[in-house]
Amino acid sequence: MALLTFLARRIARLVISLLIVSMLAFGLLQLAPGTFAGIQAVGGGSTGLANQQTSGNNSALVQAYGENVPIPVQYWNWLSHAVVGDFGPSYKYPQSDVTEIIAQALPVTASLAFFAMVLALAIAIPVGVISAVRRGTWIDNSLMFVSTLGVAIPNYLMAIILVLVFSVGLHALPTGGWTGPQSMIMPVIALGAGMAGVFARYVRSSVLEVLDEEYVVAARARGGTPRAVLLRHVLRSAIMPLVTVAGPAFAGLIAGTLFVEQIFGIPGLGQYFTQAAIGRDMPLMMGCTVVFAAILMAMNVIVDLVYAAIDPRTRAGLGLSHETKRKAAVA
Amino acid sequence: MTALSTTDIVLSSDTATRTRIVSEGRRRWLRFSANKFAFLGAIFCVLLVLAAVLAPWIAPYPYDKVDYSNIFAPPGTAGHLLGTDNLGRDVLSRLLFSLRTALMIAFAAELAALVLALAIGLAAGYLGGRVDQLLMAGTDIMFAFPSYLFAVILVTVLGRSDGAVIIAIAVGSWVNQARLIRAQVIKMKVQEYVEAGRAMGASSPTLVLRYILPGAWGPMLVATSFGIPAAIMAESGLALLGLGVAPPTPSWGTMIIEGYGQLFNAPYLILAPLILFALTMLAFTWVGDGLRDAFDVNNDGHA
Repeated sequence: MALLTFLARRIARLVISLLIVSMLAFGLLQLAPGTFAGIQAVGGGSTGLANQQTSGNNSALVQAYGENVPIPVQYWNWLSHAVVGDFGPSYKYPQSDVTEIIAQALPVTASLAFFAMVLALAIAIPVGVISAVRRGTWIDNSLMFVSTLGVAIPNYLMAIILVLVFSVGLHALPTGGWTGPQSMIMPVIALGAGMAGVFARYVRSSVLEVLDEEYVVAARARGGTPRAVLLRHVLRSAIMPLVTVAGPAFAGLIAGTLFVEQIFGIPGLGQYFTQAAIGRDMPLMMGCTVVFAAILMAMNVIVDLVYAAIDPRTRAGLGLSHETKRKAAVA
Repeated sequence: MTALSTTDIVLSSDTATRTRIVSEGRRRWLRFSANKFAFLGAIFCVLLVLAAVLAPWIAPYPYDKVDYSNIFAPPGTAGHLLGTDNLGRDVLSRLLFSLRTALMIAFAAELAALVLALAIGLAAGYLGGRVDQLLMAGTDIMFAFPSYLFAVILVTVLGRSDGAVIIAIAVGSWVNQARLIRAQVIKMKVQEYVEAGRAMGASSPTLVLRYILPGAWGPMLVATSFGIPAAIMAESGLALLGLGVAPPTPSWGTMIIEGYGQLFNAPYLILAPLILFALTMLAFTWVGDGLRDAFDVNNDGHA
């Protein structure tokens, strides 16, 4: 019951935030040169197909988004279509509408993000634990040095370094494109490496904290082997702080897809967002922005839920425990 | 990170005040300079700033001087230490002016973000109540809105000027700092010396500026020092996407994407900005890490 209330409240806040974000983006884009309806004649109108589409669609578009339509009304027109999944036509890619583009691009970006996350965790957890256990040794120092490299080097530089090594140097991988599993290798490493560095530093410091806790000392005193103590007592608490950084990390990951997809020429959501910005394709920009923001906000809700699931203490903080009487919700 | 590390910090600073022999500032400096990487990074950062300021005088050529008779000169060519690009422009000169662009925009953006964060963080933390709720609801939304998306939208709206890029980056980076400052203010405003100040009849602005703010500058400094490499990364990143400062203003992002087009016939074009850029990011990150340890600050928001 408490869980349901919590979920309902978070989802309500998510919807409100999403509305505000879309209003903000829509309002800002109105200030950009060109209008929602007008840009099509300039941008997409150059190709034959677009011309045909333009003449067919334009009157409806002008009616909804023309210059003499007040901006709140334009926003309402956009919103009333967007809530049923219709983000309008794309000017830059006149063959398909925005919803189709997103439906195609989202799985591409999602698979990159998913594998990057998996890679980052697979590297960071062992690296962080080994570093902490071997605190102060050359192993710790060199692992943390490499982790800091991962933190400091932007993902797009990492992407280019990978291309220089594997494509220019070794001729082992294609420089870009989206043709099969091999075209995922470099983008996933480029996206995951930085996150692995961030995570590894967190795991290390939280393992260090936990190692001195009394229950760990007690477990050791009871005769637990180092491995058993580490796996059963230390690791569980050490991984928890990772959940709190998962939200910001996911935001970084989404930002990363803009660059990595651009460098490798991958037809993902990040690439379409960038192209929409360059070509001032307003409906496509709006669509991508809202989808990105929705994913990020949903991730944050999931993070809170997971956190509550693994740490009973935070349930109280989230208003999930029965004895907490909440103040009025911010939203 | 959790309540645990906070008590750690309180305990350690308690012992420090009891057995204080060296001043707080000196203690921090000692701790910072004992960190080899932070110290080296700081020296490198100073050199970078000098090179950026002096770029118009130390660069061998103007950044936009085209020389069609001398295109794709390899590194080491007489007069062109790092070679020339597809238009015969001197790579070293462009590298230095790009450094200037990067630092100028990053410092300006971080300064703007800091001012905004201070105003909002102090107001929210000190006033509390409804103001706090409203401001924090605002930052919540900004927090959930990927800052790069917002930056791209802002550049689309404002055009590709230096000012637009500065605003776009500043708007994306103030949220973290505002939260940090707010948290610090909430912690500080119940301290006894602040109570004492209030009892003596100090006005709210005095309390905030003279009593609370000085105690908050450590975390602020740390947040800003992490903000600078992030802003450099954003500047070059936007340029890389074709949404950064407009040409002919040079940027590492532009150099990298131009070099990417010549990857196979002139890899040195991309190597030069890549190496200097990576070293710059590393130096600033080391300095940030060093400051964080010297000030005992947890920088949870940073990822």
